Amino acid sequence: MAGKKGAKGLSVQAVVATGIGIAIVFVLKRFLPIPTGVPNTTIDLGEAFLAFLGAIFGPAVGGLTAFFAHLFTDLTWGDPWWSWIIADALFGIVIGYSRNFLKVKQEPLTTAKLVKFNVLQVAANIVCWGVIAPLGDIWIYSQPAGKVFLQGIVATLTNSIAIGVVATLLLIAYGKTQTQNKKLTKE
Amino acid sequence: MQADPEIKEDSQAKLLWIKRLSGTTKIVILLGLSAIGMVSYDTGYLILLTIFALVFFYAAQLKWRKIRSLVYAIIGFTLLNLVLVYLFSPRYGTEIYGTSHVLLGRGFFALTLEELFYLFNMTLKYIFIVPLILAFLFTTDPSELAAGMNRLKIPYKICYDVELSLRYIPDFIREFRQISLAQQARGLEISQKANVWHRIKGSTQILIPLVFSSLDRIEVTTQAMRLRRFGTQKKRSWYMFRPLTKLDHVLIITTIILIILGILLFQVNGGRFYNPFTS
Repeated sequence: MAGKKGAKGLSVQAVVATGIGIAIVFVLKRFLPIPTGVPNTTIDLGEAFLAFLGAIFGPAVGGLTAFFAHLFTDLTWGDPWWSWIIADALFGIVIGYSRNFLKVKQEPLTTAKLVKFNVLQVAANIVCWGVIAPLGDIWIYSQPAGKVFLQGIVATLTNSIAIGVVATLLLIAYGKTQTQNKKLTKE
Repeated sequence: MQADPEIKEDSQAKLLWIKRLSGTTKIVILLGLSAIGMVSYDTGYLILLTIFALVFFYAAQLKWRKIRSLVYAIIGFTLLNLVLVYLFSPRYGTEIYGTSHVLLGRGFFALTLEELFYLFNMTLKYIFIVPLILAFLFTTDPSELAAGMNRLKIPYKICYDVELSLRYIPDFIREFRQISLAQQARGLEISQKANVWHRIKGSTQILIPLVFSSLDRIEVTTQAMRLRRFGTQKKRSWYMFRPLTKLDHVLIITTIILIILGILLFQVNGGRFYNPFTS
C-alpha cells in the first residue's frame, strides 16, 4: 500500500501523506512546543509525529516531510538554517526504514518491535542532532563548537524523549486500529 | 504561507510588482541568497544583501500588525543566540581575526573588538534575509509556488507535496485550535502552570485526535486523487503557470551576479571572513 508502489516515483498515497505530513509537522512545531526549562530548547512533538509518519509510510515520505516541514518552520522564524534542515531530512529517511521491521499495517505490534524502533530512533537522533547538525553549523556557518554541541546534545535528548514517549504511544494506538481490521482471514 | 485569507483581503494591492513575480524567481532569489549568505562573513557584502532584501520588503507594503509577532520572535531568537555564542566562546572573534583589542573587562570574558565584530556579522547573517522572507511569505500563492518549483525541474510530485501542505496548513491550524479548546474545556491543563510531564501528556491528548483525523484525510485525498488519475503521466501542466516576464529575468540575473560577487569576495578576502584588523 504505502511508499513506492507505482512504476516510478512516489505513489499517490506517498504524495498525499507527505503533503499532509508537512502540514501537521509544521503546525505542531509552530504551535505546540513544550519548553523544558533550558532556554531555546523545546520538546518538539513535530518530530514525534514525523517519526510516526515515517514508520508507517517509509523513508521517502519521512525524508521529504522532515525537509519541507523544517524549511517552512524556519522560514516563519526568519532564516532557513540549512545544517539543521539537512540533519532533519536525514533523520526522516533513517526513521523511515523502521517501516520494514515494524510492518504496522500487516502484523500486530509486539514489544520487541517497539524496542527496536526506539533503539533506532535514539541512534538516529544521536547521529543527526549530536553529530551532523553541529558539524554543519561549524563548517557552514563558522559557529563556535561549544555552543553548537550544547544545542545538538539538548536537541538529541529532547527529541529522543518526545519520540520515545509520544511516537511510541501513537504507534500503539495506530496498531490497534490496524489489527482490528485484519481479524478476518481469507480462506 | 498561512496568509491566504490576507492576500485576498487586500486585493486592491494586487498590482504590486512583487505579486506579479513568478514563483520560480522567488525561489531562485530566496535559495540563492540564503545559500551565499550562509557561507559569507563579509560585512559589506552582507549589508548589500540586506539592502537588496529590503527593496522587496518595501515593495510588499506589509502592514506592521501582520508581521509584528514574527519580527519580535526573530529578534528574541537572534539575541538569545548572540548571548549563547558569547557565553560559550568570548574569544572566538580573536581566534578568527588573529588580533585582540580588549574593550572592557579582563580574563576569559573580556570583551574584544574582534568578538563584537564577529557577533555583528553573525547578526547580519541571521537577519539579512528576514525582510525578503516576510515579503515573499505574504505575497506568494501556493499554487504559483508549486508551478514555479516545477519549472526548476523539481519532480512534479514533490511540488505537489508542497502545494498540498500549504493548502492544508490553515485547515490544520484551525483543527488544532478547536481540539485544543475542546480538551481545555474538559479540564486539560496545558498552559505554563502545569509541569513538563503534564504538558506532554496533555499535548498528546491533542495530538491523537489530530493525527487520526489527518490519517483519515490522507485516505480520502488519496482516493480522490487516484480517481482523477494523478501521477500516471511523467509531466503535468499547472493552472497557475505563468511565463517569466522581463522583470523576472532581470531579478534572476541580478541574483546570479550577486552570488558570483560573493564568490569573488572569497578570493579577495582570502577566505570567508572580511578582516579589518590586519591591514
